[in-house]
Amino acid sequence: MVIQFDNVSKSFGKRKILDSVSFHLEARQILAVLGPSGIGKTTLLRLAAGTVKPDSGQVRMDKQCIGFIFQEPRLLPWRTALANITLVLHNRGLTRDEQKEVAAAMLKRLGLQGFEYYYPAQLSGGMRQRVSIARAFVINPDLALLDEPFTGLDIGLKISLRQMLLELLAWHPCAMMYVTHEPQDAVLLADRAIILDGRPGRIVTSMDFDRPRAERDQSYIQDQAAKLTSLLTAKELPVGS
Amino acid sequence: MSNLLHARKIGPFLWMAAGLVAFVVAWQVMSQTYGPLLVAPPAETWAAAARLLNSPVTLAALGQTLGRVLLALGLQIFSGVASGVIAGLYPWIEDLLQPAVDALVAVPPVALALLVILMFGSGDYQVAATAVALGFPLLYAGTVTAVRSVDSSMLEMFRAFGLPKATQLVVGYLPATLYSLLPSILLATGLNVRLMVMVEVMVGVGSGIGQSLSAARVHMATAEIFAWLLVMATTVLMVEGTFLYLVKSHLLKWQARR
Repeated sequence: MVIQFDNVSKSFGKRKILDSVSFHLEARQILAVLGPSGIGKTTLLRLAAGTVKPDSGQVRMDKQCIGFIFQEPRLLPWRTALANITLVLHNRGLTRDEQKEVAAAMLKRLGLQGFEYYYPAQLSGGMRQRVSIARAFVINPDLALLDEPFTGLDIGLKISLRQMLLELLAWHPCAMMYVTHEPQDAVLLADRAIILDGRPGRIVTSMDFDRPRAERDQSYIQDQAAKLTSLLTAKELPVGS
Repeated sequence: MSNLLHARKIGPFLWMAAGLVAFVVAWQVMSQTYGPLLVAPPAETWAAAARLLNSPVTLAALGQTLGRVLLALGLQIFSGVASGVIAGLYPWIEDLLQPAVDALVAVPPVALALLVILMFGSGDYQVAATAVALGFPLLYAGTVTAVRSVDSSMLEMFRAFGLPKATQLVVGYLPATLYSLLPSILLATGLNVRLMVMVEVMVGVGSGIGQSLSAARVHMATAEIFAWLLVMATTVLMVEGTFLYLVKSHLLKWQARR
């Protein structure tokens, strides 16, 4: 087990965001988190990352190495693409040259060879998000947290980044929590999906995708995505339905 | 002609040249109206300025004043940024320092210079200390605001990746603060030259532009006073321009390449 949520509740001010959320994630398991906007999906990731603490309940983690891919790349504008990646390699027992070498190899893996010394302002939106993905995976995370990383990108870019993510997962399999609004994304990437709903948000249903990712063809993806969509539109379903 | 004045590239320069000519004409008219003893004519001022710039004594005075300006600026940046970062991170420190900062802001520069003379006498250290006290609030307040406005999403990213506090400070807080603070530092650079000359005159040190200005005033050398003003204005513009160039070419490379 990589992470376990036990009856986790969280409020911001007087507003309760999450109520008694429980689930766990095994090593190399990918969990898609779906639900309406403002339901607490991002809060779930923040709780997993430890950047916010639960009001009640517990978030237990076996390992501590976390890679976070935010909705927006969150690169430091005054650091080059390479320097934005070496940033997270501090205190990992690498010399400066080794840090640069590892970061450059990761950029190359994501098709950004030649752009190492470009500043974020000189890169396109898709390239910036690729740097952000490289930053999350360069530390070989035990758990990757993705918060709608492809929102706002055009469809072509979205497909190519999705493919890139699959290749990265094949290269470095790790557990992943993936917040998305798109059922197709969930079916393509995840082993399991949970749906949050209600105010405050709680898990109303979950769905497992039993077929291995490599064997999911278009008809399977469409079929499962349709099921997931119907679950998303149905309200207040019991867990496990 | 109308098209030329509104052309994007040379239009602004033509307008500036026209403004300069209008200024010189107004200056000449003032000089003729009030007499050369009160307002030195532009040509006489220009000749005096040329004489000043050819004299090693003038260059030494300029060097001494600029040296003091750099010393004061360095001390202001160090004290203002260091205390501003701490006050920005810990609001109770800001509350603690607020009365002292308010007092420095409220006291007129001339009064502060007089106070320093009364308390500590006149000399080089007194000049630097007065200039530091006068410029400190600007950089301190700018730093507090900059630290408070550091992007919270950047800080969340640091926490998510478990970056140590020291790394967060070096790669995040300090650059973010510095970039927000650059306009204040630029303002302080020009302000320091003006303040330094005033403090030199008030405190009465034996060297620098302030001392030369005082000497010219004693000898009623109006053209020389005007020439010194011209030299000072040019110096301020050059110092600000050099600072701006260095900042843009080194610190703001990431913005310039957009």
